[in-house]
Amino acid sequence: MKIAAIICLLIVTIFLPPSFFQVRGEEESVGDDDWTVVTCDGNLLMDYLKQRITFFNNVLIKNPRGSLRADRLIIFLTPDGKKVERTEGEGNIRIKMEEKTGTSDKVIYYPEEKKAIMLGNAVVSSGSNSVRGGQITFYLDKKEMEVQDTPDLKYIPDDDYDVNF
Amino acid sequence: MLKNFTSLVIIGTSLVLAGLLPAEEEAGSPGSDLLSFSPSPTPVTDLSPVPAPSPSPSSSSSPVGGLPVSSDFASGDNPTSSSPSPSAGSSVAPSPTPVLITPTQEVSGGFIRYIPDKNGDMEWKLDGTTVKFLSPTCLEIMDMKATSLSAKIGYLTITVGKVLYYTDSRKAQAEGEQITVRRENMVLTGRGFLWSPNLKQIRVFEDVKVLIKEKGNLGLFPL
Repeated sequence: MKIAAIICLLIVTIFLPPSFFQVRGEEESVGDDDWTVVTCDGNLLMDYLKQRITFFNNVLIKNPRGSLRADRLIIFLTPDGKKVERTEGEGNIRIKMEEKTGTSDKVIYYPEEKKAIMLGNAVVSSGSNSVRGGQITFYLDKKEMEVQDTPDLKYIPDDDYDVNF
Repeated sequence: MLKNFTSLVIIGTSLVLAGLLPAEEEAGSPGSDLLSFSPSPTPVTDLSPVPAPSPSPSSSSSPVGGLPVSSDFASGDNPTSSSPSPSAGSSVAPSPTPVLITPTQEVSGGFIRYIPDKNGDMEWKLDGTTVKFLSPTCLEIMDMKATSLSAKIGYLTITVGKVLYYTDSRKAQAEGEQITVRRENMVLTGRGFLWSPNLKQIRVFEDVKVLIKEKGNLGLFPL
């Protein structure tokens, strides 16, 4: 009887899907593009009571879609430490993603709201077009951009227009 | 008559004692010189860095992880195997130059230690292959892996090859050692670190690299 039970258990174990044996930290399936690497020239401070990680000196964030550089970066994690609540980059912000580039003094990103705010001398350029402002807010899910304190806006359309005055 | 006999006995005893004492000193008085190797347990107990030292060199205590700790000396000799008996000391030639003895204790073969927080709840599980006292306030831990058991901290493991832990300041430090810190969906690597369990902070000094893997990759930056 016991031998039969052991054989049944073995058969069930063999035919279980591989996802059944996933280890902790890999509950959600991640693809090949779902990675981000953060490096810095200085040191790193992890405060696991306040759930924040601070990178110092020439921070570089890279993922398959682009890169971001900053003098300092702080990652604020959720209280359980499982997800990123928000990230703050400070000093000489330089963003590169495909054709777009951006610079500012500070950038804050809220992943839950899918909102990114570039603060202080913010400039976003795409080819010959650019927008400049004291604060530029991106709503990533809506694909909208809000510019505040705009000294200038340079827009050159791709198509030629006949403008009649 | 009786007085004379008593006086003779006293004088005789004094003479015998006076004659024997130098002979015993030549054989080696145990524990008389702290700058040379001594098999006597007395100086070991006096210089032992642990709060509860073993009463004899062959016995053991367990300051870390409840595992037996063997007394050892900086010279690398094991007192239980070299010349444990004072009577055998006469056959050992005294060292020509005195060497300062720093007694240490060592746990080998693996250990596990649970570290509680201020409320007495288990906060960390610490395991490693060996731990050794380098000084009364400094421990050397090899192949350390610290695993958080606290729900407040969440999933967090720290893996380092060699760590120095200072009992007075309660800080762990490793210079130039490769460190790996794992959290949910995150792996941090670097070289050299300073860990303060009291402040709940880890500082990594060089070659910092953090890999974050998460579904949709929207958790870090709008890239």
